[in-house]
Amino acid sequence: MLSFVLRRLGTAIPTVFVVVAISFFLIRLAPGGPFDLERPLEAKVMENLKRIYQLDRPLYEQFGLYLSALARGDLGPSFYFRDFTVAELFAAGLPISIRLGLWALALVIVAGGGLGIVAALRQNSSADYLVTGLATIGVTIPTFVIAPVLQIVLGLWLAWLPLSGWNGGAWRNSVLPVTVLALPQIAVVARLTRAAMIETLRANHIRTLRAQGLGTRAVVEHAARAAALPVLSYLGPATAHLLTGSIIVETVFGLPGVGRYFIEGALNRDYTLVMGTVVLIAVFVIAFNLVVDVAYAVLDPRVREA
Amino acid sequence: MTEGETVTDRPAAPLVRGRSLWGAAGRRLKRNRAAMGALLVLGLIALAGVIGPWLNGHPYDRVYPEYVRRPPSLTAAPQVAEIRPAADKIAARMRARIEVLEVAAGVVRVTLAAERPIDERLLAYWPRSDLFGAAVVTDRTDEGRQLVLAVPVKIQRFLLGTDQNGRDLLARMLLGVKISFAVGLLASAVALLIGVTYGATAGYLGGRTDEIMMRIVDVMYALPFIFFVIMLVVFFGRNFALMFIAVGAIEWLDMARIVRGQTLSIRRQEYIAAAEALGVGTIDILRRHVIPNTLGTVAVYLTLLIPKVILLESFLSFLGLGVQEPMTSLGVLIAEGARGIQGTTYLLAWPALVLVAMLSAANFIGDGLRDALDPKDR
Repeated sequence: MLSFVLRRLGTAIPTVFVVVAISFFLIRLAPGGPFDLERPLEAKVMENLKRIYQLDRPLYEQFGLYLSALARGDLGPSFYFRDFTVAELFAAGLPISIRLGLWALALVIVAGGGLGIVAALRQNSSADYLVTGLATIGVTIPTFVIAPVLQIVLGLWLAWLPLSGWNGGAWRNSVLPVTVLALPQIAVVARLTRAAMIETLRANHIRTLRAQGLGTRAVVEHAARAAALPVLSYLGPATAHLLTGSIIVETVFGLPGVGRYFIEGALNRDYTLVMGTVVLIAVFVIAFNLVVDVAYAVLDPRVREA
Repeated sequence: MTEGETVTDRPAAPLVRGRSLWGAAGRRLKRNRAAMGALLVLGLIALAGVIGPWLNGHPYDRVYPEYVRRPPSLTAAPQVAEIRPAADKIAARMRARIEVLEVAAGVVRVTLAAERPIDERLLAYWPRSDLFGAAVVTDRTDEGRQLVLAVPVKIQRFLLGTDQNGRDLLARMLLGVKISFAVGLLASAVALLIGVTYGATAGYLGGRTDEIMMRIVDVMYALPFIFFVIMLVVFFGRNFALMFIAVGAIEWLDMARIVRGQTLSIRRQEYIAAAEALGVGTIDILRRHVIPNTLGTVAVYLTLLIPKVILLESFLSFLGLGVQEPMTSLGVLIAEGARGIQGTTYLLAWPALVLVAMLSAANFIGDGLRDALDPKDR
């Protein structure tokens, strides 16, 4: 098992390197710089700023400097949010994004998995059509539509929940963002679970269980274990994205997470912040893909032996 | 010549029409009520995008300053109650006051009076308003101190209301629909072209080439793609045409993977071996034998890709990175509607409804097509 994990990590390092390299050169090639204001700075000031941030060196040298800093775990200072390092910005925002993401993930697994199993057990019944129909619509309704609609209905008309804001993490403020984060994923997971369950329920070992007269509960327990595999491989990257925050949710609900740093950084040419976000997302994606691989090996002996 | 005759003279073999893959799929698709309904909805929306602007009559960038945030209504504007205040405003600008005002059969009869003779050049104020046409003087009394005017009322309908700048929402939505379709189709076409070529080449050539090509795809998967789009938008200076090429250039990854997988299994078929044995070149084998046989899967994926691209465009526009004013798209309209949710709910509701209808319809069609081409899951 350990060698399996190490091998996966070994292939991850070149991927991170390529991702960092492409992002680094892409954003440097983009026109404009972090210190371009409406009114241009004085030439001398600009020169000094560039020297402080080492932007006057040749590009390959800057890349080398960034890589060596990254290897030490240093993401550098933010160009736009002066006085903050990228690590400090993440330290403030990431816990918020992760907390919302974990709640959303729990909701996705319980609601999406549950609905999918119910639909699969009653295939082609009205309950099944309801779940698949809702899931199809749920996949297609964009978050930037759900978010304001929920704001209007639950926030304004019914006035049950606050419209926006973080409010120190009060649960009432988290309900809407978590729901909006989870809804599209619930739809996807419900569809995946249904498809996987239908396939598993036809499998020989499930038929054997049924022939032996076991109750629905035992059948579902066995089938769900096998059906979890395709759902898991979807949940890996999906979890990574849930935990690293959503631009839309954080913008619409005015939350201080890390999701919004990406667009803000790119628009302001905050090189280090954009690079930091790219690295952060890449690390999360790789980490959760690894978790999925390990979980796969635990659930499916065939993978372990291969 | 004799040969030709012998061939035609032979009793014709009874013509058996085989059931082609596409024919059978078409029949199965027609039986799928959800997919056919979705096709109808999508067709109607597309038709509205094409002929709607012409029927609606409002240019998408025309501003009606007097009809700002007018709620949706089937009744024509202006209402009788709106005429008097608007007329008063114009009269004040003409340094006159209204003595009598009657509305009859789409024409307003106004009697203006002033201390000094009224400058008739100022009558130009009437047609400048959104409510009235050109004023005609029917009577002058008191040496021009009193004018009787006949002013036609401009009857207009704002079926879905007007936005915060006084532009017709329906006209803007129809433009948005058109842009969404254009982006969806063109970006998907770009993705199709790149993805199919790349995937078929990698799958057919196999070996080391395949490994390297798919490794590149894997790495690109790891990149946060929204970052790419933003970078491309920055590069292309928010140019509309280039933007969807950029979107298409990113969305080809899934297509390449799917086509590669299909190609791997097609490559082992006997007809490919036969073509190779006959000395057909690699490019011709790809073009005539491999790619046509991947089209079933590709068609399914394409119908699911189009709504994805439309969604991506709306997402970018929502963030202010997409289509720029005075052009618009459903994403921009939703963003504007979401900003002013208090009071003007319809500005959010209508564009959101149309976008969701378009996306769901496209997805239902894609699902139906998949079931039709691969019925074993049913």
